[in-house]
Amino acid sequence: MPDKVMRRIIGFGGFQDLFKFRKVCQDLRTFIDETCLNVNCTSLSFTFLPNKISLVANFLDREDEEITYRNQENGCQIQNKPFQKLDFIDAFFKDLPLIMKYLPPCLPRLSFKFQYTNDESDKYIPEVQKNLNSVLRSRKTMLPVRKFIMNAFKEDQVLTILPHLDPMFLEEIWILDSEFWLGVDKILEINELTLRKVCHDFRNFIDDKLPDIGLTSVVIMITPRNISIYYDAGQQSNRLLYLKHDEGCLVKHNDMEYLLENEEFVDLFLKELAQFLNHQKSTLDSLRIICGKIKNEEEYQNVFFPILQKIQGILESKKNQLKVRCINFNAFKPAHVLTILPFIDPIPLKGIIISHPNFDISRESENIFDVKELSHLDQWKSAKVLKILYLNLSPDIRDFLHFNRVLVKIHTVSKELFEFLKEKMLCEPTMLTVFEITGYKRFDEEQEYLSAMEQYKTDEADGGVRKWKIQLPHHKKRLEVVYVPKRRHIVFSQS
Amino acid sequence: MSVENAPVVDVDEAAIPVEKKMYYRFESNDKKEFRVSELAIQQSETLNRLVEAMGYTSEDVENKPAIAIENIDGKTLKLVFQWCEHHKGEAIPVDDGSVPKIVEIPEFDAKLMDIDNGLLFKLIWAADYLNIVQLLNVSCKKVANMAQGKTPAQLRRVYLLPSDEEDEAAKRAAQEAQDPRAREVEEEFEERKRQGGNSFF
Repeated sequence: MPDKVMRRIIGFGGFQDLFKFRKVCQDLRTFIDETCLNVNCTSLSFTFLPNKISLVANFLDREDEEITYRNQENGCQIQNKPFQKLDFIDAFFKDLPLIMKYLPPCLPRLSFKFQYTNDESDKYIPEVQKNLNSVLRSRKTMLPVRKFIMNAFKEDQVLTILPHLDPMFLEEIWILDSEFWLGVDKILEINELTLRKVCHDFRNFIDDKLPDIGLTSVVIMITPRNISIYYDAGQQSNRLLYLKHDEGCLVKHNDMEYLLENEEFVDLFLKELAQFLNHQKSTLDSLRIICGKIKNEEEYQNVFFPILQKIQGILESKKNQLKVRCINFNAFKPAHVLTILPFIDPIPLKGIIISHPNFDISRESENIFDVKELSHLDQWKSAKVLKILYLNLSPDIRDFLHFNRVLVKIHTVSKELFEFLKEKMLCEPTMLTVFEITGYKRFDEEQEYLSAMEQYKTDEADGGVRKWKIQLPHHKKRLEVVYVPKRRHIVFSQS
Repeated sequence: MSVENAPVVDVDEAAIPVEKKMYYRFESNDKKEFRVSELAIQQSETLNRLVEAMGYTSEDVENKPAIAIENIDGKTLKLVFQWCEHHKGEAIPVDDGSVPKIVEIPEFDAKLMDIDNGLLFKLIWAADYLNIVQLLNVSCKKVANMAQGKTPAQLRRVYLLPSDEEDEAAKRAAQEAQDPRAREVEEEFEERKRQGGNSFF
């Protein structure tokens, strides 16, 4: 048959077909070895484990192909076929040059996952590295790969492979932490949608060329037995759940489940969160760190706060501050807020939402949440919207006047406070356009205030809801006040 | 005369003769004749160039002998022209030498290629010879699919190939055979191989 026909027949097949064709007869073997053939795969992933090496090839119009080389007593197993006295690593590296030879003219994705523990890595990686190096060096041309992903324990592992990739084709490089193998595919799923990072320089890639994971929203929900990360990238919403398990940690990613033996769920969560946050370069629309089912402050202090402190460590060690538009978290005290807020980039920060972790306890609480310490932060000064929910504030609202919109719970409201607000919002140049107080516990001089406001009354709705419109002589600004006594709610808004 | 000053001529559209749909006649090496539409022929780069070079009119097509395709038999040529007629007018993929990334086999093509291996291999050979790119793509894809899940020994049976040992034995036998009759047999074997007779590859 003519070469053109043979190239097609072999090109439509996978690597396994290619190996089989080579075994059919000498003529075919000679043809395959001496002709420029391509297997049309779109992605090639190599996974190295202590007792197994696997290769997965993906295709556009045929099923994925997996070839596994397993270690077994007195030899190895390739797919399910045993081979006596053949080492599985040797067998793999005997086939690898052929696989590399028949790559398509531009391979869209090449990945190497090294699934070793730190101890195993010392034992296995040098041999793998030596063999890889020899295969790649023996090639006459560099590998035409568009996207390259690998995890590494040391920089020299990256340098075994990366210099053999043709820079003419290379658009994306992903170098991940050695222990992040579990998350690689998750990140890639996100990345397919959002990442278009071009890399031209091999030097300094580990620090400088870390691509942007491009998440738009992250919610971290912490409970005593599990932690969830909900993350959105583009239109895609995902959930990662780290669950305490008798044998270690159970990780659920959307519909997939992995059991990681002898892993502590909090440690694993923190490791992967660090990877997420280190890869996040663009601004998150929203970051929520909340606790679920916290019974009391003591449990918060024992369960939630230590994790918050570790998240603080991750944020602190990040090269650039995390960019967030709106941050939202649970706290009993300002000290809890101080674990996270100072490490957020103040420039893009527009909204701060702080709420009590348990609504039921909050109703009984008489504690005052003093914002004094927070008000010195650049993040506080930079934000435009503030909501502090179910936490009692003092009536001193001077630290709130630079916000555009405020929603807070003030323990005791009074005629004096409202006069102060009226004065600030009507007569002075302030940014404040809406100030909403909800769930106050006491209203001092309530009757006096209501009588004084009678002159501005516009109408009265059901349930005692009153609306006042205030316009002072010689002032352009007008203030609308809505008073809902049933809900202990009062709103001042400029109109 | 400039273009602007050229006289305007009214065209009577009804007076323009409508060209009749042309059907060319082809003959296989076993003297079977086929009539194929001009549009279907466009699927074959080789035949299209040939008929363009011949410049036949409708009368020529009827009066002159059928165009002989000497190295394809009637059974194969029938399949080739059935395929061309079914896919006439469809876009012809550009053959830049690379293997297409996606090739789907349409239902019609799958039925057409539901034939024994010997005939399928002749069809591929004909598609390549006549340069019918998409027919070559789908038929090669079919053969590639046939290899899935088969062992090298099964592939030998499917593709009618000798094993290394058989090949070696045949070569040895040929070397040992010194008499003119043995050489004749050897040459005949080689000729059949060249024509895609017994062995697929």
